[in-house]
Amino acid sequence: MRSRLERELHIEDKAFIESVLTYFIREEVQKAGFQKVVVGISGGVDSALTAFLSVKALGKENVIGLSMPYRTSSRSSVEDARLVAEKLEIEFHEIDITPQIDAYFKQFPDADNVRRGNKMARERMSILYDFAHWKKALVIGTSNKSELLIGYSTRWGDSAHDINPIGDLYKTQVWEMAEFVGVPERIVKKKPSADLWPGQTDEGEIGLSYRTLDQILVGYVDLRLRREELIRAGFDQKTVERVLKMVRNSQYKRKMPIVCKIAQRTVDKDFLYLRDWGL
Amino acid sequence: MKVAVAQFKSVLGDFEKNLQKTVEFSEEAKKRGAKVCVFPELNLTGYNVWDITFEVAVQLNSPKLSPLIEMSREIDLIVGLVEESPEHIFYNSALYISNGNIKHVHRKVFLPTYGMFDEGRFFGQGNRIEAFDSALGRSSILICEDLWHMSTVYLSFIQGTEYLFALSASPGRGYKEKGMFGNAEVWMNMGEFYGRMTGSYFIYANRVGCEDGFVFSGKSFIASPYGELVVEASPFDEELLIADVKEELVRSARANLPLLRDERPEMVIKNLRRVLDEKQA
Repeated sequence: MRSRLERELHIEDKAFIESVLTYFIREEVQKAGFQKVVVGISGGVDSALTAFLSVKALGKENVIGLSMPYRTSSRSSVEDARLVAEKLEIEFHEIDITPQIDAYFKQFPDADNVRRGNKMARERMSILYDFAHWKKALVIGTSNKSELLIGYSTRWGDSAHDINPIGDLYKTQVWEMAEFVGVPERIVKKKPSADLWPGQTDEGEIGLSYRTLDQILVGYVDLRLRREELIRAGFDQKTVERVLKMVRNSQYKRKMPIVCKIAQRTVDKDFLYLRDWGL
Repeated sequence: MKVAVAQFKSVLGDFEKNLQKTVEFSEEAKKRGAKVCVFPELNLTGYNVWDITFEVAVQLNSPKLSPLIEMSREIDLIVGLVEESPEHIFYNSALYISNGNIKHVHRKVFLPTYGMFDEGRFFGQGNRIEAFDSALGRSSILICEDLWHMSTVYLSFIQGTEYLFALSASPGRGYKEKGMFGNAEVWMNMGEFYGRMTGSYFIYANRVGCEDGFVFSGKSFIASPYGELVVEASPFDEELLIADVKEELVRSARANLPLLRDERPEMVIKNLRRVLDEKQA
């Protein structure tokens, strides 16, 4: 069963999936009346893949990359972000967010890493939307399916954007696709990190490897296997339970705010229109 | 005789724009010598209409349909729309329009309401699978989920259908195939299989375009009564497929494989009755 789950993650025709994702970007951007996108480039593989797909979809003149390091961001992250922009020959801005972050936390010197990391993620979101307005662009998101499902993101921070081409790709699939579209190897191969504090790694923080996480998720989500079936497939019981709990506990992050219903039709409940209404 | 399949991209909820493009495609099909032009499911409204259902619905005597009625004096049309019945039930319907008349209406019988689909929430169920005479010959129209149920194909077959029009707006999913989505591959398998098993042309018109990240899977095609693909479209682009369909090939296929002759609907109905009775008992 475990090998079945591994196979389930394999993308057979990466060229075709690349065409689907670039078609999606082109359609959704242009239908909404835009030509351009802004993308936050962190130096990691998710944003690199998103930037590569955006350039293939819209042309390099229509993609604006932003690197927004804080003073503790690792030098390699900053360099890898530059590498992506150079390779793609896109308009690129490096904006140091240290002044505004430090100014805020001067009032809260004891703030922990999570508060600081969240603030940084939201600061970056705020800058992306400022650029989006300035450059008449949409913000393109870089959240993959693994992190969306376990809620490994900052609410209204990196999770806030207009369209997301890679949100149905698990992290291990992002690696596959990134390699295929030509993201530099050192970016594909490096250990994933949100880089919100020195030494942070995703797998360290989540407590298991993306390979295992993705197999459990694809079994639970895509194949609708039950908890017992996942355990029988050869995963450690505690690990399965922890993953399913992360999925359940982060549902709020995947939803818009909930409205209290008092009338016949309520905006978040039975006012049912796609966003592409009229497009 | 030539038939055209319009692989179509709709604007969600904009009847007028979709209507205009439908007329343009029909003119092109006419120019290229087709007798019938087939459009995908809900091509006049877009697929995920949800609450727009009640805003884009038309009654069959509505003047909104006049441009299509006029067009049908030059070429026969099969279009998809939200039909509002006189008693205000809303159907996912397809119309066969010919020589200024709506000659046949198929109301989708199976409304998928699971996973990403929510049709049962908005539409009423159709109840009839009825063959009719199109410009090509004995024909049936089925819509998308209808075809995933063998019963609808059987009912078309048993009425002598030689041209099965399969309209869909199939959102792409599945990354295990080459050059197309998994569901597009299933459609092709279905066309080849049902074409051969019924000795009929299987004429498949699917959507392209994107609605909130649902990327429609395209790959419209026409399969012959021998189960061979005659023409096929791309996965993403709007295009007009044209193919020559030949009555003599239906004859040839049915002479070689006389499944319709040997079919036994009385046996089927007796068994169905028995199975249902036993279930109830």
